Formats: sequence, structure tokens, C-alpha cells
Amino acid sequence: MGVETTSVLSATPAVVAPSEKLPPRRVVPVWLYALPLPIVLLVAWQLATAGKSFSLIPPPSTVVLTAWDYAFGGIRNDTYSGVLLTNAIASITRVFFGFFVAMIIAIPLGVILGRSKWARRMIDPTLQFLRPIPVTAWLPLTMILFGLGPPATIALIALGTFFPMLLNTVDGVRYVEPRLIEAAEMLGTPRAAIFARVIIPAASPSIFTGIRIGLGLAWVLLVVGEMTGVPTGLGANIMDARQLSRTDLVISGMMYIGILGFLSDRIVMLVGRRALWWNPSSRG
Amino acid sequence: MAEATAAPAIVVHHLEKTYLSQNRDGSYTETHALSDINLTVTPGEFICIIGASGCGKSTLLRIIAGFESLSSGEMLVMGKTIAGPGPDRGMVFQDYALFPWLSVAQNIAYGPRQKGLPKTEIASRTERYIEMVGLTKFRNRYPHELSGGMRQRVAIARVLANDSSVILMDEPFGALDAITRDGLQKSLLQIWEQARKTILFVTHSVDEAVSLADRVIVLSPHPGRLKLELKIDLPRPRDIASVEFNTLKRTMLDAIAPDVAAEEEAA
Repeated sequence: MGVETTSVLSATPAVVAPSEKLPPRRVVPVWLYALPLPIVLLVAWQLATAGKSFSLIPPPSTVVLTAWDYAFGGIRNDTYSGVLLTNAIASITRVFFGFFVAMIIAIPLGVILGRSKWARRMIDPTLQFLRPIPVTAWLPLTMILFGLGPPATIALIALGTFFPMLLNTVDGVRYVEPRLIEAAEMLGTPRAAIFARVIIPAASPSIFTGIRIGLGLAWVLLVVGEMTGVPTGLGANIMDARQLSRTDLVISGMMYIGILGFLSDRIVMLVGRRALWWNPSSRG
Repeated sequence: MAEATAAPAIVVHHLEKTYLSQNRDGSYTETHALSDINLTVTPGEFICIIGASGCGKSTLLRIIAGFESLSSGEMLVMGKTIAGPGPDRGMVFQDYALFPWLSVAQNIAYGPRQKGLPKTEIASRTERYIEMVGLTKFRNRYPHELSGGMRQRVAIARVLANDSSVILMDEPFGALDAITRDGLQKSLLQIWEQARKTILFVTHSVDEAVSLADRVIVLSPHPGRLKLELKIDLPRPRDIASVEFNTLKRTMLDAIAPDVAAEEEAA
């Protein structure tokens, strides 16, 4: 009897059922993973501060009540009851105006600096000198220039958000792959059209990152921005509450700023994903 | 076969290229990249340019493409001097250089759109060349979703759609694995046999040169000079294991070997 050779391959099933190859279905939705940490922190906070009449920080139970009252009223009925909407709208307006003013200066300027070596040589040193100056330090000067009130706030927020948007735009424009420009030229793009058809699309992910950072920063700067003597606004309320030792109000205000900042970032990301669908790293 | 009586596609006459670069101490170094290059290419010919590193093969290609200027000498493409890059000389780069914000179809349609062709013409050209490179199913995908081999197919289609008379290829398959490279070489020959464009193909692979070219130009480095010109008369597809193939390969390797050895000694 001769040696029977059996192909090793024929011993294995010819087709593996597709369902055996899929990763196991997620039982727990991803966002649930984010819950334990804040819950632990809240519980620790509550235990550390509840029932102690002289604690400087109010327990979360008090803060929640104040936050509710701030939004809807009906619990304390004082100056800070039910005023969330007015103050939020005031703050949102200032954030967006400030951010917008910064954007319409930073992006065109960034494009110019990105493209022109001598513009960089002339303007960049001054910019690098101004950049490290904290926004808080600009406060007195803006109040002198713009007076008390919303214009100074908007100017301050614009100042603060200007630099990230400018720098990201400069980098985006400056570091467009030279190969792409060569390819465009080779394909017959007129010199004058290279900018609009190649450089801007190629730079747009960087510019978008700058915009996202800028908007986030605008919210961070809100509190400083509203120290210009504006009567309304979440930042102004926080500063007033501090003077009144209403720490519960301070924390409520912080929370609302955080929520609004988070929401505005989500909106920017949604817009970004639609406009920059081709760039995998812009998808957040 | 290429028409011997037709006007040449490319004529290069005593071409010289020198680079001037500034050193840290302010003085200048002159690098002689190409010296006394003479070349005549008939329309529809497939030419490979090969040589050890530093022989100026990519520089020569880029001068023909119009990305760099020649220092002295003459160069004519389709009878005209070159003023800069343009659609008559399409280039396929080693790193593809596709526009990441455009889909496969949009990348291929880009050249025709720059020309201002009517929409129907653009659409029909796009479809024809997507099919020719075998990417019909991927027409709406973006470059980042494609493999290297697929991206290079798009790059080739992009240049074809633009009706370039000359196609310049700078080590186009250098970044790809051997299997993909093999497939693309076959596809390239099929496309070339259909479209009959003049192709100038820079490579560092002797196998590739002997498999593809009608004629191989071997350059030697420092400065880049014509060392050897070899006509390859074998019918395609060529058998890499055949005696004829390897005889030619031997000749080429022998021509390049001293340059490679000199490079290694200098290093």
C-alpha cells in the first residue's frame, strides 16, 4: 500500500462562518465607562463637605439646588434666580463675537504670513513678543481703549483666541507638501489658481484645528473677559458670587460654562467632519 | 512599433545642470549634476533611465518635466522648448501626490477640468481611465482609503486623462511591495500598448528596466553622464528567467557596478 498523502488543507473546513470572525458585541455602551470617575468624585466631595457648617466649599447637594435655581428659579428667589438664560445669551454673544473677530483677522493674516517669507521676517518677531503676554495683563489696556462693558470683553476674547488660530493657519499654509503643488502645476493649473485650488484645501485641516482650539480658548477666557464691568454674563456672575462668598453660585457658573463650551465644541466638530470628511485625523 | 520617420518626441542636446548651494560659512559649492546629456526619444517609445545614486536620473526627469531648469544645452519636447511644468508632460511621482481632498474620480477629472473641457467630455474621460486602471468600484473613495498600489493607479489615470504626449515616471513603483509592483508593471505595459504614449521611466531596478523598456539609458554619477545605451528588442511580456533577459541584465549590471563600488568606497 502506497503512502496516502492527504492535503493538510482539506482537513480544515472550507469556509469559516462570518459570524465567528466578528469581534464580540459590545454589551456596555462606551459612554458608561465615563461615569464611574465623576460619581466617585461627587460622592467623595459630598461626604467631605455635607453637614459641616463651616466648610468653605458647599456640598454637591447644595450646588445642584443652586444650579437649578439659577436656571429656573423657585428655590431661593434672590437676584440670581432664574437668570441663566439672560446671562448665558450675553456670554455666548460675547464669546462668538470675540472669536469671530479674531478669526477674520487671524486666518487671512495667517495665509499671508504662510506664503511670504519677507512678511514673516517683518511681522513674526513682533507677534512672538506679544504672544506670551497673558490676557489678564491686557485687561486694563482694553478697558481704557474700549471703555467699560461688552466691547472690551469682546476685544479681550479676540486677543486671546487670535494666536492659536494665526499660528495654525501659518503652519497649514506654509507646510503644504511641495509635491502637491508640483502635481497641480503638472496637471495644468494656472499659477494664479494654485492658491485657491491646492493651498487652501491642503491647509484646511490645520486651519480647522486652529478654529477648534480658538473657540475652546474663548470660553476659557470668558471669565477674565467679563471682568470689564459688564453687568450680565456667566463670568461676571461668577466674579460677583465670589465677592458675596456664594461659592455654590461660583461652582454652578463654572458648570454652565463647561457645558456651553462642550456643546459649542461638538457643533464645531460636526461642521468640521462634514467639511473635512477626507482627512481621517479631523474626525475627532 | 514606434515610427522612426516621425518627429522625435524628446530631443536633449548637450544638456548640463549645475547646482549652486551656499555653505554655512557663506561660500558656494557647485554641484555638477548632469554633464553633456544627449538623448532622442521617438514618439511611443518606452525608455528607462537607470544608474547608481547621484547619477542625476531624477534631475533629468524633473528638467524635462519643467520643475527645474537646465544650466546649458537644448531640450525640445514635441518640437517646442519647455517653459515650465504642463499637461503635455504628465508626471507620476514615487509618493503618488494625489489630492487628499478629492475622490478618485475627482483626482482623475482634475486635469481636464483645468483645461476647461465640456462636462460631458470630462465625465467620459474620467470613466474611461478609471476603468483602464481597474478602479471603477473605488471611484468615490478618497486617497487615504486606498492602498499604495491603488493610489499609483489613480496617479497614472490622472496623467492619462490629461492626454499628455509624454509620461514621466520617477521610480513610481519604488515604494510598493514586490507583488504589487509586478501587477502594476503588467498593467502599465497593457496601458502603454493601448495608449501608445511616450514613457520615460526612472528606476534603480535593472530587472524592471529590462522587463519594461524599448531602450535603457544608463547614467554614471558625479557628474551624471551617459554611460551606456541599450536597445532591448525582446518581445513582451519578457521572461525574466530567459537567457536573453539575463544577458542584457548582465551587461547593465556590469556597467553600473563600478559606480556602486565607488559610492561605497566614498562612504
